[in-house]
Amino acid sequence: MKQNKSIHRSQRERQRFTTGLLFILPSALLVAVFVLIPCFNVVYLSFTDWNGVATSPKTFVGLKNYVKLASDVSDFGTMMIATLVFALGLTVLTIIISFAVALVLDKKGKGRLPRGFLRSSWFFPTLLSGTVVGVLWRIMYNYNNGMINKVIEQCGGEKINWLETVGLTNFAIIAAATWARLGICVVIFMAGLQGISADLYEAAAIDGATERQQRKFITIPLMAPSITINLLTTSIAAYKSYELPYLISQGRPGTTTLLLSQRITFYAFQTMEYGRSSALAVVLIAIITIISLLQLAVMRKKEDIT
Amino acid sequence: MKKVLAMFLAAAMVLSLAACASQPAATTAAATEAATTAAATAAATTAAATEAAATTAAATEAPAAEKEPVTIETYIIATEWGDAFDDMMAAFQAEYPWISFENTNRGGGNSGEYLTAAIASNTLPDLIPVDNDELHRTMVNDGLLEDFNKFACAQQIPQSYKDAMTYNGILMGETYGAAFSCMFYNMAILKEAGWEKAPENWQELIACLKDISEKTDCKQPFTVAAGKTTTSWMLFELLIANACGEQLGAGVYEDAFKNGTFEFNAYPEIVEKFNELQPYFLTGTSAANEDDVTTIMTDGQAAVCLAGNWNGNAILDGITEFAGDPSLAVAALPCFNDEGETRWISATAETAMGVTADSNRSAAEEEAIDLFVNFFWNHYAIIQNVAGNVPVIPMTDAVLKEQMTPLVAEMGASPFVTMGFNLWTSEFKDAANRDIQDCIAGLKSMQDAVDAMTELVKTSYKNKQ
Amino acid sequence: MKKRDGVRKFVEELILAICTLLILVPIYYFVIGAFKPRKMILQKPLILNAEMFTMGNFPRAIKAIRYWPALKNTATITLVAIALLIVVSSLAGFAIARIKSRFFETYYSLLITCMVVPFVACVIPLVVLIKNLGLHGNVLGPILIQAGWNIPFATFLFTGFMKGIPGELEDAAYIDGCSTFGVYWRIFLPLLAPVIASCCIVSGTGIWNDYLVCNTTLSATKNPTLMVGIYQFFSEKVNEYGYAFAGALLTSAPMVVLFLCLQKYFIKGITAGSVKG
Repeated sequence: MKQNKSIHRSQRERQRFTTGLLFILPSALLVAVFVLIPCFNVVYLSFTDWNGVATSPKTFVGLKNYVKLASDVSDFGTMMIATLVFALGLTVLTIIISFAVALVLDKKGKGRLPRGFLRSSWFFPTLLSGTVVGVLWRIMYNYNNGMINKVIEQCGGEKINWLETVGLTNFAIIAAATWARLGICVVIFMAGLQGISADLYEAAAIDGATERQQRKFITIPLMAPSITINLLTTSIAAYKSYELPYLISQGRPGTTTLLLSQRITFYAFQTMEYGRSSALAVVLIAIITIISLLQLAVMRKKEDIT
Repeated sequence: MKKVLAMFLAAAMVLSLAACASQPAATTAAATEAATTAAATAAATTAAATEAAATTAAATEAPAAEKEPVTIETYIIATEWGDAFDDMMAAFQAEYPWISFENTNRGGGNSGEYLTAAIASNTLPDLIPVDNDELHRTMVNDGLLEDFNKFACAQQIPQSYKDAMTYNGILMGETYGAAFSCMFYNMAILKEAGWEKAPENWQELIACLKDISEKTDCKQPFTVAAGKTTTSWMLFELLIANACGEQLGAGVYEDAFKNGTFEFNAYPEIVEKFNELQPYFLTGTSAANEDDVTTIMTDGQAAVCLAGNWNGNAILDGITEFAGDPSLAVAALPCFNDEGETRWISATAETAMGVTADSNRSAAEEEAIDLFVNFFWNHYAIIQNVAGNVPVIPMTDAVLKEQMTPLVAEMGASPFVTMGFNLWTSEFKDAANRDIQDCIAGLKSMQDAVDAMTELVKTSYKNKQ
Repeated sequence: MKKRDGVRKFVEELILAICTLLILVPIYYFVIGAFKPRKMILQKPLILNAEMFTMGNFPRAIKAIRYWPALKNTATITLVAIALLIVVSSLAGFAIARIKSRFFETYYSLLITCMVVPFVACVIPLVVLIKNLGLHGNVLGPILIQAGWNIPFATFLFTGFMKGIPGELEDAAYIDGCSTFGVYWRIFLPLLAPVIASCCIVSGTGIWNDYLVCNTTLSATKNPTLMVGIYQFFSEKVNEYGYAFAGALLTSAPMVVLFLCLQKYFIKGITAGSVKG
């Protein structure tokens, strides 16, 4: 009897494995063709001297492109700082604000504002494309005629030079990008909150836990997967983001808000140095991978503790 | 939920089948659409445009011979020409009904992406805009552009425009027109400061700006669209032109720039003059684009602005709106010259329409392109005028603003340097203009910028092999 | 206790209201901009009075973007890509989350790392690939590209949530003789309503608002799309903010409707009561 059961189980497991493979196959195919092939192409091209023309030769030049990157230290350093500041600022700001908002939006009932309208309001910015958001905020940040400075003046304050002040411009692009990103994070947090059964809260309330305790011991730990998702995706999106910040500041003042991703487009589409652009892309991929792995490690530790 | 999902998937499958199968016959649809919309908007267009279109259509009652339909793929950015462009296309369709156009891209801010992708994947359209920049020079080097000299209208292009658009012996296209730098003055504010006439040389300009900032509310009276590389460099090149133009002669700076030998820091006058001007820049100038400058002038936040002639109509309208009187909106050529010295300005041939090389074209297609290119040459002047730009062949009944018309003749007679975008590499453009913008914002010293440029041009220059 | 709860509730709602207002201000600016001529957007940003009100931006935008064909194309691309994405990713997510295997775990890690690849760097090779596949100018190109590039994120979402579903449900189904696919189709899919909804919205808006893919692989005349159409308003010489904002309003309208329809799947909690843990 026991033998039969174990044969059954391993047969079933093998069957499930094959079925699992079939389940994975379509997505694997799509990703392999449309993501991996171009990606490997880019890595290959980073070792060549290609100028982007179909009929031009792709002469192999080894590590020349990478050496060129490394040799321009100050430029590269400024760019790295700009990218890191932007990504960090965007991620931290977005996660904190969207978590708080999702918590409050989840509560319904008497005496509270209409949830449908609020949810739509918070989500509307994400429905706009990065281009529109960039253009919109650029007009808003305008020193002389921008909406923000006009409001400040009306309230009696002094106009702020958003786009010409070193450091402040970084904040300006972070603010705009956060505004556009909040909706997605709120949506994902809310989906996560839905997954927490109300029974848990009831049980805790019966046991005499306060709302703050409930939040600390039930909500946050059970939200860990959503937090990980939002943390990872927002951070990755921040590193890859290029048109929104570019439309607002064009990398100014100087190159202090010029991001790595914008440099990639510069070398690819303007100077026709596709090899250099690919090398920079490889560096960006490496950076994002390292940072994401770090974040995953930290979150996994947090998940283990709870 | 499952029902919704099932319906959703079903709808998606149906749509996907439709998507793969359909090849909408949009070409003829687009043609008729253009004709009908053109007819609908005919009433709204300017008198000159309608008249020209009508006379063309009436004069050439081309017999619709048995011609096979031909489609030309184009990449024409027509936003600034708007209705006038649609009218012109309608007139062309009326004259040559078997030729239709497929505009593969309507352009926008980042045309570089589309063009580079098309070049890489061998999907270039027949007609594209060309400039004398890296992208198009690469195309010439790789044999992707037709030599425009083979078309009949090329004979009519003035030599200086031909030279500007020629690279490696290939004429890249028919230029849309001429562009030059201008200064615009809000005379209402100048008068308030005690200036009855616009300044005529550098010393007067500085004195005028000083008076305006001291005697009126306009504390920072000077602005330029420094957020755009063409105009931020325009400021700088006028300083260069007037510092060394006379002494070097025409064309020397341009050649030296293209060969990487021009020494920007050999002319201390550039730095001196810039530093004199720097206190008068309106805050926000380094990030301003052309729309911003127009708004600034309309609100009277600045009194003097440097801009290209292509922005002239908007700025003059704005000043008129502020001052209430069109005579108070004055346009003049930039007066960066010292008192008593010749005034040098900057000018350029504009973007051109070029034809891509394609050995697989049929004779009918070649003929169609030939017809269109020549038609365009004879008619684009109208659409350039409607946009307020200066066509290559000035028209006597040009629809330019009255303040701009005398400048065109003056520009023709004035010594000039070619505008920067014909001379630099993209790398130089990016680095140099960021420095200039920083200098305008007061974040960097012009001496450092000039030194950096001198170093950079030695390794990053246009004629590098 | 009740009074303190009441005060706290009020404070929470107040802060929420203020923050919501702050979020809405740029939207207000954007929406009224669609009804103003271009000059007024720049000169008088805050107000919209009877003088400057105009509906003229909309017909102009509709004509220039070629709204109806563009809407059809964008909708096709988005719907098909999302359908493909959800089907393919939920299947993969199920396999990874519920079938124990080292192979799947490694595959999952590799798939997730694909999220880090910046799309903009791969545009040129991708367009060349599309041309070589014979899909240049065909809507199938953007559909497959978008589906492919969104799969890592969608699989990430699906796997994460599927892992959180208790195993008892599954075991019960297997004991009843359900096949693997049956478990997927009958048990897990219905429970995943919130995730599918989030995926639709998040990936959907990304695909709907895409500009780069459609700009480089489709012909603007044969297959116009919405964002590509709006982009033409921002050129070197002229920025037609009025038309662009009007166009952007029209472009985001269907997405707003979609969100309003799907948001009830967030409220309608999942059948938490089905398993008492």
